[in-house]
Amino acid sequence: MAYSPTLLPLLIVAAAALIAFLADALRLGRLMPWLGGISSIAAAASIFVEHMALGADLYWDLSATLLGVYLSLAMAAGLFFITFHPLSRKMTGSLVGLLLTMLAGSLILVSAQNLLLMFVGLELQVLPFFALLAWPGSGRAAVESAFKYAVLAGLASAQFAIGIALIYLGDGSLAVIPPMGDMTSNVFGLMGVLALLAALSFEIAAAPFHAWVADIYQGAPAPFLIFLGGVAKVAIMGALITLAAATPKLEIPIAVIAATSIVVGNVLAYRAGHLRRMLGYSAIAHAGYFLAALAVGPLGIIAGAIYALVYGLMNMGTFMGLSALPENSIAIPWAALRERQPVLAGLLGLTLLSLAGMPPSIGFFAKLLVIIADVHDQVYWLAILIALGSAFSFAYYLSTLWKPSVLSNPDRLLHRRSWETFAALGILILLFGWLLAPLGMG
Amino acid sequence: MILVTVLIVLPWGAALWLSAQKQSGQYFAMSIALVELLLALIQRFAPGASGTLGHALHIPYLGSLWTLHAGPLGSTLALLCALLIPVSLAFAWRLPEFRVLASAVLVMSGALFGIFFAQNVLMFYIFYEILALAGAFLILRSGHKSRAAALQFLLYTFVGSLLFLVALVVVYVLHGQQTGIYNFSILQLADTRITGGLGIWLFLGMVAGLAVKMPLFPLHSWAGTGYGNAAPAGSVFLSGAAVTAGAYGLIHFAIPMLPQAALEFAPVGIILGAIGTLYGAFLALNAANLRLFAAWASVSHMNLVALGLFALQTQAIHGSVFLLIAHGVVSAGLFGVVSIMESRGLTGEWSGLGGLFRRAPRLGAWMLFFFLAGMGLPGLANFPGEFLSLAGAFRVLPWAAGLATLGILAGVVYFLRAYERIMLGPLNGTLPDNLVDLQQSEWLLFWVLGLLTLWLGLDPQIILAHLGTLLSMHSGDVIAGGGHGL
Repeated sequence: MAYSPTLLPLLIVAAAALIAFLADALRLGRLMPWLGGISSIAAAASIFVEHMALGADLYWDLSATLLGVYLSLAMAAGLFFITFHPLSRKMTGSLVGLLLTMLAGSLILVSAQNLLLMFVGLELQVLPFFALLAWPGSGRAAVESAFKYAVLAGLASAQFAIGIALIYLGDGSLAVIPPMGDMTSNVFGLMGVLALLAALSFEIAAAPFHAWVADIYQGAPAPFLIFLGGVAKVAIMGALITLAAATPKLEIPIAVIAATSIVVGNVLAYRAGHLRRMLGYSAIAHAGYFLAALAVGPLGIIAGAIYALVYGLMNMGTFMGLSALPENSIAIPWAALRERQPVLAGLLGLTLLSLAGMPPSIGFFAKLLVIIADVHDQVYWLAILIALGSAFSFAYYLSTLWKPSVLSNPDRLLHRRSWETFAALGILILLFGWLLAPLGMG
Repeated sequence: MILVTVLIVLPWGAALWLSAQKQSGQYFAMSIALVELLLALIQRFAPGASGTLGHALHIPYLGSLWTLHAGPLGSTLALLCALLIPVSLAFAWRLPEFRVLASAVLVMSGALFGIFFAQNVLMFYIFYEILALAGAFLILRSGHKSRAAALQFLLYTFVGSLLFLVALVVVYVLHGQQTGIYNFSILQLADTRITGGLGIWLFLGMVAGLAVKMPLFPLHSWAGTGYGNAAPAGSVFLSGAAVTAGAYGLIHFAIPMLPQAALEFAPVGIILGAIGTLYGAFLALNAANLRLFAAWASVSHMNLVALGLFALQTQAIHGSVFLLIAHGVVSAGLFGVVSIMESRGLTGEWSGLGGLFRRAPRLGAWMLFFFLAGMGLPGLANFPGEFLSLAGAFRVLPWAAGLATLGILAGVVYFLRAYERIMLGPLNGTLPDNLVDLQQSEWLLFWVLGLLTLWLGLDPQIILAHLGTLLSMHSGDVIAGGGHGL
């Protein structure tokens, strides 16, 4: 592939990743989060400049630009954040290298218009997690969850590969928008696209492909879940947006998966009784709300892109908050957290409300947009299902807010003065982020 | 604009400040409450403070979210709400959970002011959700601190209000498709053409969201657990002020948006209101304790309000708005009495009461006064409202109005029976010997509420004359065409 300007953000990120991998040998690891963060910001800027540029197989269209800029900035914020976490002390350079590789994969996923490239992106963003989830110093449960993730994500990748093969068998093209008709124009193509949908649904944990998510959320170290929930999942959502926009025939299967996810996710989350597992199960429901947007025409694509972005932001907030708690806590010790890190506690409470869809947080506006999209295409049943699901979700999100929980030893809370700044910024974004909407709409 | 914005935002800021404090902050909360009362008075009576007050926060496709509009109904209900903040705080004065209760009440009052002055329906919805969340918080953290009751309240109101949201979005999308203007302002949405059976479904969705707050039968069962578990001082505000949001939403948003469907729904609404009035009365008759008694009495009255609203007839709607305001004052008195009794260590179970009048004659006298007002004694606040709503409803659906009248009659029975159980009869042996009667400050509080009750009862025109036309012109025309005499 010859050089084209659309590749610039990828080149920046990949170069920074290479430098970061080398840095450990040169004993420069401590500097790498900052280098990674700055290069992510540079990537975001270059995506913004390349806005709407059509290159070979990469296309930064509206939703790809939106998500691409978000992913890069989220990665930068995440990198700056984990600098202060003890897990990042060992092999910092490799850690940053893996995260940047993941970002490169994510950027490819959201912008790829070629199935093979999409597959490369998927692998680039899945493989680093095998190592990240079991990072040295994070305990046995983390190793277990990394292993589970590896096995199941490998399965999903295999399914994705089969899907590509079937589509290629069907019309001999690897483009997401083939020259003639769409990918589903024959039976092989249809099967292939369904396989792709299943693989991607697996990655965002939509029911009935959700079995892994609670175990991973429970076992994995919280700082890396910032990236799993706030970056990786959003990128997969970006790929789903590309897929759904290209093949209108997918609307019915997507609607079915969305409805199942909303029901299954909410019921499981209500019965979870463990903070991390509840978040994992509720991620299923959120995948459902996102897919409910994709199940309807062009307005749904916009709604889906915005939902993905908002969902990523809420996940970042949640897991940034949880990073301060001991890994095995099953509820949030509010009293201790409020005393040590009041702003971070506020952020955590606000993200939980925002995940439930409490106005006027951005979580509410994202859901409102999905409901508007569904109603606009007269898919009333899905809109009502979203409304009921999100009303029901208040029951479990709020019970984490008001469940009394005492930490036996308050010193196990991580105390970082600098995290308060992140939390204050997060609160501003979550509460008033929707005020920026007029800028985007012109 | 600035005045109303301060009215809305000030209590929120105060609640935030209060929740960050260590001490309980009675004087701070009370001074904020009095400032709010003053602002509401200025808003209501200052000349030129009505109509659309200003726009801000314009979001493309959603309209100007912060559009404030002051109508006579909204300003009057805001005044009631502003009055009940200091009353509720005063009853809570010595409670250990004063700080939590005060911040919940302040958040709720800010949301209520937002509801009464919002012109944008989406903004109304946002305030409505905040109100519900703060209400659940109040139930959770005061009184019996029951998590189940808070959860029940939350699920009822949120399921209802999200159905309201879906119905609202349907109206919004239809309006956008018809005119090309995508805007959540009620002025825009009120002239959407909605044909056939869709309208009635949308209206049902809106009623589910708004009537659950009133609470209309059969969506009322949260009220018993909610009012029964919150501290009575909190229930003063929950039952007096928070319920007005649902009725206001129906009058100001739901009926103007869907007048034709409202007309079709009217008989059902009247019948539900009538059943609710009677059913609430029976529940009050069999209530297990004093808190539940006051809760069901309030539910019974609110169903009468709903009956008057759905009659869609000038007299009945005016009556029901009057009853809404009167109920706020009388219910504050009733829950105030309960609160005083609990502060003396009485549980409110019937078995622990009896002959109390000999120990606490002043409390007994005030309780009799508010019970009489609750019964609808002519000359006290509830009577004009009850009379007008029933008189109006009789013209529309006589047998249902007759059923509701039976509920009023049952009201006489349950109030008198409860009074007999608490105050009269032989002195209960389990009552503590050193029971303190009303103290100076409590006595003063009851005087304020009592005089207000008397004033509303003797001079109902003070409210009725200034309500003006409640429904918008367009919906008024549609409804008048349906033979409801508007």
